[in-house]
Amino acid sequence: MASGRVVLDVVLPKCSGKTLPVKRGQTLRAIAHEGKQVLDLTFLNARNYREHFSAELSAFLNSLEGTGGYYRLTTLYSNPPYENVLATVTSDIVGSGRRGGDRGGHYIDDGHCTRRLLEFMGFPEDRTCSDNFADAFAEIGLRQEDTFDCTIFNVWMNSYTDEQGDMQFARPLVEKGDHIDFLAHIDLLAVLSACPLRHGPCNDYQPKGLRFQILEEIVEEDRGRTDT
Amino acid sequence: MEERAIQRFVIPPSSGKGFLVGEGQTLRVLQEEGGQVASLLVLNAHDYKEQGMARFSGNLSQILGTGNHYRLGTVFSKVPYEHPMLTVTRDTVGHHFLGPHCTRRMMEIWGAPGHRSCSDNFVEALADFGLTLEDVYSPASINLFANAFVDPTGDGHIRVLPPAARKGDLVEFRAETDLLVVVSACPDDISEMNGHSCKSIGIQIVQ
Repeated sequence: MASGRVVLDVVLPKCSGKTLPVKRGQTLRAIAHEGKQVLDLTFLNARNYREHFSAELSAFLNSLEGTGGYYRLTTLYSNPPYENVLATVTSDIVGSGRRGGDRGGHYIDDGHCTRRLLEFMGFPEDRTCSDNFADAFAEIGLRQEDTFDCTIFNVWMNSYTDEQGDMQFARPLVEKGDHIDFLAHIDLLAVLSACPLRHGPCNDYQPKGLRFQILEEIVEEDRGRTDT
Repeated sequence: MEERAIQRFVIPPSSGKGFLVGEGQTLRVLQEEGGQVASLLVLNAHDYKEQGMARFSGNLSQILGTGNHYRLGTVFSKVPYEHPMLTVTRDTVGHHFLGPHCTRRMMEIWGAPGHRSCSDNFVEALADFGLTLEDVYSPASINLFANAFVDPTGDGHIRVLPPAARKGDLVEFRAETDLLVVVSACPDDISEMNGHSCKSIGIQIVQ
């Protein structure tokens, strides 16, 4: 694992959301410290919230560049008209294939769990990622009407679209203690949700917490490796 | 019941246009010449912050049994609204791509820097309504007639084939509320998306 100076180490309790500033050059490390749990993640440009991570664009551009697609990303791009590189994935144990499976092990899509989704599933009272994101955005004075939190890197969500176009769900491949690193290319605000979905295999039927570290001075020879 | 035409027009190749569709009216998007993708953005005409979702509408439609990521059912708006905006009432093709429209950066990667993209079409069409690209949920769009697929395995690469849609093919929707619909006749003649030639798209709004 890449080593560096840890300047922040926090736990996001299960079924909650929060924002975390990540400065240019810093690395955000997400750790599945309790095991199989999905992190719903988006980034905003810390200096201009109208520029944000775009799941759709990133999946397409990574596919063209041969560096990812809908199930794994290397480069996180922002929405048009910006289309800038916000962050790069510098370490990804699941995406590297070390936990098996025949896919990248993540899900990059314009969706997280929502009130309507849970209504349609028959659980209208359940907490959703929408609630987590509403809480997180409130920390910085934004309302969901003013944001595009629906464009999401669903980290460790082991879903896919089958040949017919149906979305399929499977248990996360991530194991307790696994991590993924994001190197910030500009000053960013990470918006985080520990997915509260308890129905279906997304979080292995039991929502859990997640741990986050912000690292500086990553040892240079480790940077850029995706397999550690 | 006899239908009454509200508007009929053609969106010329490589251009975009925004127009209003009233609640209960029928919107038809037609292949004027065949083999052409039409990318749609959908907004609530009375509150532009309420905007249509692309793939997530496929997820919701899948639970309802009316559609999925390729077969279009109902287009829902983004959180926190999540209301039905458009419902498909007729579809002679049955495969579309809910995902990104083409952009400046895509053209650069394809070796055609500066080539016109759907982003340009949308910028111009949105300007008629005082909107910018940052104001809308772009580049997620409903790419009608796009014959693209996501690999179910590996990294989830996107495979683009020429459109299967022929002249006269159409998708027909019922507007569930008053809508601003913005359509781009996709200007991509670089990839297979439009079979390497850009064509026009027909629009009919009937009551």
